[in-house]
Amino acid sequence: MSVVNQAQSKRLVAVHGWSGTILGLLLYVVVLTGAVAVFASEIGEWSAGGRPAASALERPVDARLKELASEVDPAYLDEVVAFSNSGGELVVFFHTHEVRADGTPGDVGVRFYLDPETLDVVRRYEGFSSDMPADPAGALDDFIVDLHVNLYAPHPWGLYATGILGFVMLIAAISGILLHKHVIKDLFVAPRNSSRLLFRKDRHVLAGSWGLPFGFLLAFTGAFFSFAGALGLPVVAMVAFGGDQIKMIETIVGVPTAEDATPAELADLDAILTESTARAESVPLSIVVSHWGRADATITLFHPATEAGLTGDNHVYAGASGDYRGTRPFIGTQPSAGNTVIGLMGPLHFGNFGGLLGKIVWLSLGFALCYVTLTGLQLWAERRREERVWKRLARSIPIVGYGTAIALAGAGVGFFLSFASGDPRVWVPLAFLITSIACVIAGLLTADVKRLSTFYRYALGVGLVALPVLRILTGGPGWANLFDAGTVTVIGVDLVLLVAGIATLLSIRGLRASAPRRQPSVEATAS
Amino acid sequence: MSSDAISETSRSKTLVRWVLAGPLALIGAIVAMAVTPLWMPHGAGGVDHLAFAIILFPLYWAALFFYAVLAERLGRAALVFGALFGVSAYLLWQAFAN
Repeated sequence: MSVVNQAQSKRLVAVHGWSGTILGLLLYVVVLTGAVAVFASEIGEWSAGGRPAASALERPVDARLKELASEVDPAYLDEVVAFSNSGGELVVFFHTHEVRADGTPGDVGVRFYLDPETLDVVRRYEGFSSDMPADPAGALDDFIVDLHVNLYAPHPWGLYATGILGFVMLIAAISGILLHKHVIKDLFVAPRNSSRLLFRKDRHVLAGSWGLPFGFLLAFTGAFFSFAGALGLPVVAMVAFGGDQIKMIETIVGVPTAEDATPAELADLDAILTESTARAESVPLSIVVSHWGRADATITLFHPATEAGLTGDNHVYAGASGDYRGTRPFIGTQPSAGNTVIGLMGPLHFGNFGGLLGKIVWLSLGFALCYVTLTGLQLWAERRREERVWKRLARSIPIVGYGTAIALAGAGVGFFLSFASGDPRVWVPLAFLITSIACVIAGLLTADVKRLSTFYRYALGVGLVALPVLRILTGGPGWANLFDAGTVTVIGVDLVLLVAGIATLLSIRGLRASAPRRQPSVEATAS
Repeated sequence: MSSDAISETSRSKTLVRWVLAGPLALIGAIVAMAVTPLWMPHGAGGVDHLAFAIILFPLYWAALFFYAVLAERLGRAALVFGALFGVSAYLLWQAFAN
């Protein structure tokens, strides 16, 4: 039974429809790229040709890092960050914090890219981190994440845009819940075949009913992430601390320990890595050393969530003695409800808990929300098909629906064709743009929707199948080598792309065979 | 009342609802977020008032939006919005005056 009366229900239908219609296509792009970005780490590893089965932080690194520390300007020992990139290289950034010529703060120092096996220097850059060339290995996954987080717009406008889209999704989900007259029945509704519109409506209701809780969760956490840094933190800091940023940082990250610049040898990093790995039951993602070579040095290791846990751990050690100091909350200096809830936001939005199964569930639910968004738009446009503006919307749905997926495959093609030349950071977005424009032109030139859908499915199927082939043809490792190295992620992504591509091509036969359903009256579908 | 007058009243109501659910709901949510650290307990870690202010922002926005959309009596809804702004302004004035 509905909780709203007829007049309220009418207003909610308008809110549900108009909010989805005005920003629905952009919302679809954000949801689709978000669903794909659940596997951003795997896509990064796959595009870079895999990384060794054992992370660089599982091997002895102490002697090599200390050797590099002795080579750099001592000022850069203020803070040292080490982590594995998409290709498995160990990235080490010795740096300090300085103000740039334009008055903005920045990190300045030396960044090394080390071979994961030999720890030889592969690349070395010096200066402000923002002036250093971005890591080409992460160009594809970074692009997908940036498209999802910022719609590739400059900071902070991209965050505001995706935050508003998150809010639109939130009101679509809440209005969907309030509008449900028969919640249980809608979870098991059988799509009616009597007309195309009724069939679509029933499928939209079915997918929407199952996806509502997930849609609410994603929309809420997504809006939080978009607005937290770009709006929430500055506003709250202004009110709570009167603009005193130092006091705010002390509250959030803790008061710095008393300075002690007395020279002191750094403890054995390998022993600390081994102990922290045993404590967290996972290999650290990164390690941060503050005040390297001083008596007040601290070492923090950041671990991912285990398959049984929701959030990752971090462990802090005294830099000089190597003594264990305990864990550190994300915010504040001791455990709190606020820290727990903030810590849950990431896993609930990214689906990066519960191992591979958790990611597959998040990807599937993300695709289901894409389906709900597109079918909602189709229903809205079809019911108003006599009006010119809605005809245009109906035409743009397959263009954006298929076009975004094809353009993502195009971005992958751009990555492989430019990876060897070292310029994928330019070519990945360019290839996405070129493919998008080609899809729009095809959509504008083809009036028949069925013919257009057939063309798009060919393009998407061929694009997906081409990606693993292109990966190997452009110098990526073959399956035999990957098996030998124990790098199964790359083989897994290859197989998923091949299966998805072939399934898309096979679906064309079904599209051709489908008989057009009888067009119903508008009144029949409004029920 | 003539049909023109009824239509005119309906248009005015729609406009008021748009203003309440649109710009005022957003501004109201930002204001509600801003004053949350002033009344929320700081908690064991001393950060709850900061964390929950930011976490609650999307929910504040949604609550004000749906209240404006579903309100049967728009005058009362406008009063509620006015009270929110008034109380928030007082709390902010108190905070900055000290």
